[in-house]
Amino acid sequence: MKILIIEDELKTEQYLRRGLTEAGFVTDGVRDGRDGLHLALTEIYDLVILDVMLPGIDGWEILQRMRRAERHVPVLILSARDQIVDRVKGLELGADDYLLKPFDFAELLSRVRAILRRGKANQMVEKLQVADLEINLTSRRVTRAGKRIGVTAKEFTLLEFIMRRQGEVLPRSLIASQVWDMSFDSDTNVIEVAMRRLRAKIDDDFDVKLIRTIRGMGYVLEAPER
Amino acid sequence: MKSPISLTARLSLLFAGSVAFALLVAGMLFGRAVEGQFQMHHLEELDGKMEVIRDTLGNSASYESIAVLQEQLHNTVMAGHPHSAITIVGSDGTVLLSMGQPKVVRHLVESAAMGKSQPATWSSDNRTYRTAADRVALGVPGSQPAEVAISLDITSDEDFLRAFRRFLWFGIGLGSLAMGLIGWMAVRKGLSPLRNVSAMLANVSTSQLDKPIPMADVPSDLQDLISAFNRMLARLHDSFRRLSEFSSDIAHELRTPINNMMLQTQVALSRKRDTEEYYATLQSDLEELRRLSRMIEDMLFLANADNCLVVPKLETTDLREEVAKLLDFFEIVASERQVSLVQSGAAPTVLSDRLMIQRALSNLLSNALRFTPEGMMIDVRIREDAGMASVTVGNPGPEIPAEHLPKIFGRLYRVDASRREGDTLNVGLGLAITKSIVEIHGGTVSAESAKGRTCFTITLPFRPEILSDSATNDDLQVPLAA
Repeated sequence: MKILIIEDELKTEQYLRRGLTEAGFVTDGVRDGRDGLHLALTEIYDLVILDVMLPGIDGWEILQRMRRAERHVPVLILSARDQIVDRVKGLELGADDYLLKPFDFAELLSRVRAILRRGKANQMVEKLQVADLEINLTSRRVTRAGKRIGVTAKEFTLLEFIMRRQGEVLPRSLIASQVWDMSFDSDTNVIEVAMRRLRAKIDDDFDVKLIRTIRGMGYVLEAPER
Repeated sequence: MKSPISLTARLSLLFAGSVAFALLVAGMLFGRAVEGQFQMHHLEELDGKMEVIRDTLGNSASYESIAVLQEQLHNTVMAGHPHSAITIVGSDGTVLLSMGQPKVVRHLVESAAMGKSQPATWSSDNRTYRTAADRVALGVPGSQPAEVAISLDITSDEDFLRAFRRFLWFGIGLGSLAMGLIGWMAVRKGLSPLRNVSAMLANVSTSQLDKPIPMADVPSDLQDLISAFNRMLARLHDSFRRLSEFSSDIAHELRTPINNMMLQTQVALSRKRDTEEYYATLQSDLEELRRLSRMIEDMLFLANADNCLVVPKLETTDLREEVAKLLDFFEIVASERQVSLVQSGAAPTVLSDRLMIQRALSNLLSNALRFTPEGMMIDVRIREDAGMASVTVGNPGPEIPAEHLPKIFGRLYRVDASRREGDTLNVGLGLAITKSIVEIHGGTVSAESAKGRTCFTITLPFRPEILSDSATNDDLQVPLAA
């Protein structure tokens, strides 16, 4: 998976590349609009991460010219929050997603993955499995090591969400918006409590813990490495 | 733009104008009276002379004796009037007697012939005459009455009148000018309290907003103005004070996480440590950064709302549905503390920005959760009230003192200034944001607290009138949260 990052802010560009490279992506980074447009039009990428404020040509124009040149590579727009931004404009111009600075890296990563997952036939799975944890999406049953675990409807939705995104660090804000449709940054610890309860049911009785808290970032569900 | 004429000039001109008008009227009346006086005097004199002539003619027994009357009349009638003239014309048109300037005499003969008996004024050779004519019976037996005309030279009187009028006009002009000047001085003097007041107003600086203009020095006419100004000053002072308090509070709030980060990072860097410790430091930094970011987010939202840059994206919102979703979200935290969440009531759908309303209500709910004692109940009531939809979040818990209630929606306002309520993420902007959001929608917020119960109510119009161009709606959209 190859990602082009067009971002003029030196540190942001460096850390984005580093983070994405460490997450297993191949990245190219440019800090100028013209170079970015040139690369986007000549090279093949799976995703372009595009800052709006750029020297030379701005992000909107790069996006427009890419689309005019029939380049349908997915584009994730980054924009500073203090600008009065036009989310609709970005999406109308053909951007696939939109993220406001400052953003959580975990959030960026999960959106990047979501965009890249798109288009791939979303096969209708009946079961999701991580290590010995298994959930059945039709019967809404949760089992671990063959033992049935009772969960509430909300807990099931939460578990399904983190299992579909297994291995990804999921920030609290993403969980709140995806599982509860709450788009604000709550100053309460709802997600913490919900995750604690879920863990009590999934992990407490087992030696191998599947759900981990990444302090300051969010939660991840994955089978531990041996 | 041309600035309007000054108050002093306006008053001075009005004063001078009215004085000039009064003088003019007085002058005209006075002139007319003097003129009338002269006229009466002339007529009396003419009458007197006519009487003398009548006597004299009545005593003349023959036409011949009339001819020799000249000497006698010259002494009696013409004495002191060198330019006067007399004619006596018989009924057959013969001039029985004439004396005086030939030109005047000719005129008299003509007018006597035409039987003009009314007194009239007449001018010739720069001299003015007043003439009177009458029919006088002669002493001659069997004779018809003769026409007698007398002309009185009134040139000197007319000259006097002219000089008098000139003097009058000059006086009026000079008087008006003088009055204008006096008026200007009087107005300046009279308006000096206004200048004092304006000097006082000019001296009001931001550091003196708390000092009202002393009413004792203000004339009664200006009392209303100044007391209105003082009220405005008080309001300004209040907002100014709150603004500077907000700035210093926010600076303090920002300094705390920055201080934490600097401290822990510097300590971490002061010697070599193992990876775990660096890891912990970075994570702690991240928490502080998130707090900072959140605070800046909230402040930006409030600042944008203050400047009308936040334009809600209106959509049909079912408050009952939104509240249910929020309660579902908060249920988890509430049940941890055995607090139950109860929803009741309903209202027709409102047009609102769903995400903003969600945020506004969530602030009320997390606020209520923070203060509700374990095992108690928070109730959320939705109602339709006087053309508005309202949502009330009520919870048992410590009462908010009445004096704090109006300020509770202020920024960074805490009932107990020394205490930070809730977790570290709570910086005291929640209720202010709720208020901003509701006001953007044209609604109101209120709070009441009594008998161990605190209620926060928001009301929303069903169809808000947002003061903005709908075309700019998307351009001005300020995102709420990541």
